[in-house]
Amino acid sequence: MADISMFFSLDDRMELESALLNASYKTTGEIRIRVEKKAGRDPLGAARRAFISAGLKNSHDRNNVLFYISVFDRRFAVFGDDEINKKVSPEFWETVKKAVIAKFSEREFKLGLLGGITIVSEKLSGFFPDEKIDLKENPESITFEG
Amino acid sequence: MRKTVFLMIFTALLLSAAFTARADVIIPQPADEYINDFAGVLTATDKSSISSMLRQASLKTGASIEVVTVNSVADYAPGEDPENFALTLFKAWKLEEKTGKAILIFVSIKDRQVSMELGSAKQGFYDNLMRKVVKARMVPNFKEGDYGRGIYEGVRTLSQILTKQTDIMDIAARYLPIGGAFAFLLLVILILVLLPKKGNKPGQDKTAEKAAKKQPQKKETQDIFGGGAAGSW
Repeated sequence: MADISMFFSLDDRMELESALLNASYKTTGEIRIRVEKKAGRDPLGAARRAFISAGLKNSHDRNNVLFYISVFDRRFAVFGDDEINKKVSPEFWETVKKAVIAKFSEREFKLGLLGGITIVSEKLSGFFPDEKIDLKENPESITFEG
Repeated sequence: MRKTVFLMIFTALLLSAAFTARADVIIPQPADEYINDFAGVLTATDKSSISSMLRQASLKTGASIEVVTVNSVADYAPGEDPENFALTLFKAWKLEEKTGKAILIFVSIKDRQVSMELGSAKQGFYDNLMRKVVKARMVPNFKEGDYGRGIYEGVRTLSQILTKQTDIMDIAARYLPIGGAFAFLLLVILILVLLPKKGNKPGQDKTAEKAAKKQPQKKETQDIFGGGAAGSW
């Protein structure tokens, strides 16, 4: 698989985009997915860097979340900004990670992410409900390296 | 001389042709309350599932949503921009007069255009949201040629948004004796003003930044925020 944008089929991508869009109506936090080739030794650091370069840092509520996948070295990370990180326990991220990876091991990438999105979106809408109409232009929710 | 006269007549003819073409806009008559599939791209199943959703949405929100598909706008109004034609239909069918709130989803197959005409009241702040719905829900399906699914997904998202937001709109409109749009804007401002009291103390960020600056920067500065978990599969 040379082209990592083929990591999801069109249908899967569509379903994920829909899930992300749905999640975005309930909370001020934004969830995005980033697919890269390799994460290296520190996937969480790679996720953090991707989080910054995606412009997710420094949002008003500091509550955006990124699902990070590196295809070739099979790494996954979930990363949340300061405020959401303060609200949830460290075990929360572990739970999300385990739930997603369990599905990934069965090569069910879409299902893994959908599950992860549901869990994170529930937390986000609980802590940061969206009380206003969402007028922010949403750039691509799923982005690919290269 | 003869040539000039001929030219003049020719130009006059051309001009009149142009004007009559402009006047020759055919307005199709609506055959159904919810879906008018003039392009014939929807199956019976598509129609029934979309109709039932439109009916529910209209019951819940009081807004009427109408779906129209045409093969090409040129069949009805040659040279007309699809979005303008959608607006013409919106006005000609007097959609807003029925319920006061109306949305027209207009799909022109050959022109590859989708537009959502909104009632005048909502236009301002729904525009971006509508664009998002069209882009994320409808266009990807249309590209695959699945018009039924595209329209279904679009309508579903739209009705979700409307159901969620009519409540806020109504409250705003009820309590403030000015236009709903302006009232809503005020409500948003109020929420924004009240929010900082709950959690985000403005001073907090600055002190955190100062603390971060004082810390010796062993690692990359990016490391001092957020949290998460990672693993491999």
